[in-house]
Amino acid sequence: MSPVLELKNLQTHFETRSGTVRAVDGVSYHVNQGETLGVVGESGCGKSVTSLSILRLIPNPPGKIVGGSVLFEGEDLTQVPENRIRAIRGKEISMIFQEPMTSLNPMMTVGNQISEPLIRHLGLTKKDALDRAREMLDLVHIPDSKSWLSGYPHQMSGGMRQRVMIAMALACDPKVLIADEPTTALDVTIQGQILMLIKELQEKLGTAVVMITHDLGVVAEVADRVVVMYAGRKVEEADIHTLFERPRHPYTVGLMTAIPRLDQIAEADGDPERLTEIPGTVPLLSELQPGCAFKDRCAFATERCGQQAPALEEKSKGHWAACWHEAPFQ
Amino acid sequence: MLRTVLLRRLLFSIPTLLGVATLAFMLGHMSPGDPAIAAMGLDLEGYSSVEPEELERVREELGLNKPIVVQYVGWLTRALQGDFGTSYVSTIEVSELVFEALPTTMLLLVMTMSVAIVVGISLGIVSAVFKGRRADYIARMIAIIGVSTPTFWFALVLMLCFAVAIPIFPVNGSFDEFGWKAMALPTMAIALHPAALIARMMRSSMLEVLSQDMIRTATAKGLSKWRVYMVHGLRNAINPVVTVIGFQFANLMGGAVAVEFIFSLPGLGSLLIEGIYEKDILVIQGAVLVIGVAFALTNLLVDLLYMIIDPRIRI
Repeated sequence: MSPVLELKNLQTHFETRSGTVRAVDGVSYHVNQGETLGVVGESGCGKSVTSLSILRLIPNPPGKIVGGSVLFEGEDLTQVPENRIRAIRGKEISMIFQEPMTSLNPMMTVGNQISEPLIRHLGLTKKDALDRAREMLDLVHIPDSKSWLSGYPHQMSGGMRQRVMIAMALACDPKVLIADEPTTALDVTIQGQILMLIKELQEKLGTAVVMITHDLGVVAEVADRVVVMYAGRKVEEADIHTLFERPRHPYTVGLMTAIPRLDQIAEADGDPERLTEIPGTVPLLSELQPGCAFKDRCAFATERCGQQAPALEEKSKGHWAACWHEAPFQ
Repeated sequence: MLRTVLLRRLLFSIPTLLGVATLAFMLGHMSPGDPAIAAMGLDLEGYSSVEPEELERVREELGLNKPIVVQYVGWLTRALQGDFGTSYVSTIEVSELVFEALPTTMLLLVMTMSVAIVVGISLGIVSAVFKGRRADYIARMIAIIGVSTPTFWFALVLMLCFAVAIPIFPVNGSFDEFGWKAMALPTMAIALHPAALIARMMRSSMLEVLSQDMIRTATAKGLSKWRVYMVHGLRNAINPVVTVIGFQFANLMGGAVAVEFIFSLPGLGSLLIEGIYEKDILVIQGAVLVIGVAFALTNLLVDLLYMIIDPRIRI
């Protein structure tokens, strides 16, 4: 199957007073039609910047795509003229964002906000667009969709707003949906509902989904394949089963053990084990030193890790990792 | 829903208007000089030559010897019926003087505000959209000059440039004599300051909105820049600007008084200044009252405009 969206060695840098920040430093990944790709990493690892770079939504200045390419059906989105990228945004590739509270326009009715891309991209009349908007609200299971068309975002709960965001993103039947932490700002009970909704709609519409999250639990729930990012680079990539069975990067292992588990907490008669964490934080991307970016936080780091950055290599079929060491890490 | 809110706001504005009336009355009475003397057509030097009995007679005739509360209640009751008394000096009904002057002032203010709003909002948007570029610097410089230039001085400069040196517009005269030409320079003179303030407010408000998540959402939908800025940006950024516009409309009266006087426009400002010169307290009170009521009504209008613009404020 040929990929519908493919990133090749993408580099997005930010010019700041303290120097160039290499937020995305040569990231490559692809997503196939109908597939869900999970992109995982901590805050500050560059996963959001990567996704914003796809549709050129990085504020410039200070941000700039300085290298690599974003291929959508063979067309390099980093090179196409402004009006072409506008025609792709919301039509071919859509995005939903982390904060449903602030991502919708408080001054515009829900119906009008969903209608906008329909009028813009499909040339529908206002009336037809509103009819279609209503169908979309039904599709994302918003009850009483007709009256919500004239409702405003502030009258809705966070979960409902995220449903509206999804309805809006999928209105033009895009080929790719980029979901940037779509459940992070929501209650845990709502998170599951939204994930299930995305999954359900993906199956129904055949959309390729790029699910960006810091939560491996979310990935386990929906993704077919996973890319793990650290400090602006991809450190591991594998299909979901391989990754969870045999992680080949200590960072991935760290992320996995950091997921709190009920059996772990309930252990030892009311004396719960301390939650596991990865020590330290993601290094500032403006002051990267030679060697592996993870070395300061890695329990397996050796002298070699400090001198030479490990290249991404295929450890087994379809399983890539950038580490000098051999799994398993225990 | 809007109607009940409107009704409530109207009810709330009654105490405000009452306060305005009280202040107008007090101001008239607190201004120095003896209105009775003025009514007799005398200046302060003539004061000593007046027979005390004569003065007392005039005071009684004008009701000036009654306790102030009685005078106030009497004045207010009549004012509510549109009767502001008769000018001591010209012996013309004050209401007639005021309503003769009102159209000129209203026209001047509406023109000024339209110019200030159009210029201010456009400058502000240009500034925000081209932040940090040349257009932004030029717009900001105009705005800084605008807020720091005194209105009366700018009026004189305009007069000097465009009425004296290059006589395109009349030095002074009313709308009746010269039509729109008579209004051009006064409008520009008064509009500069509010236009600059609106531009600054518009810029900062727009910049704040443009950095919000919803702008990214709108962009991600594939909308044109124009639509993102004007529909999503402007609509969200306009509220604080409407407040500034409301305040400015009120402040304008101050500038209008001076500018009307400079250009000899027969408006409320000129009437007020003449009244002050002549110690004609009924004229002062009448003019101040009308200006105050206009102020209060403008604020009411701004509140209503808020609700129309922002669905979240509709209670």
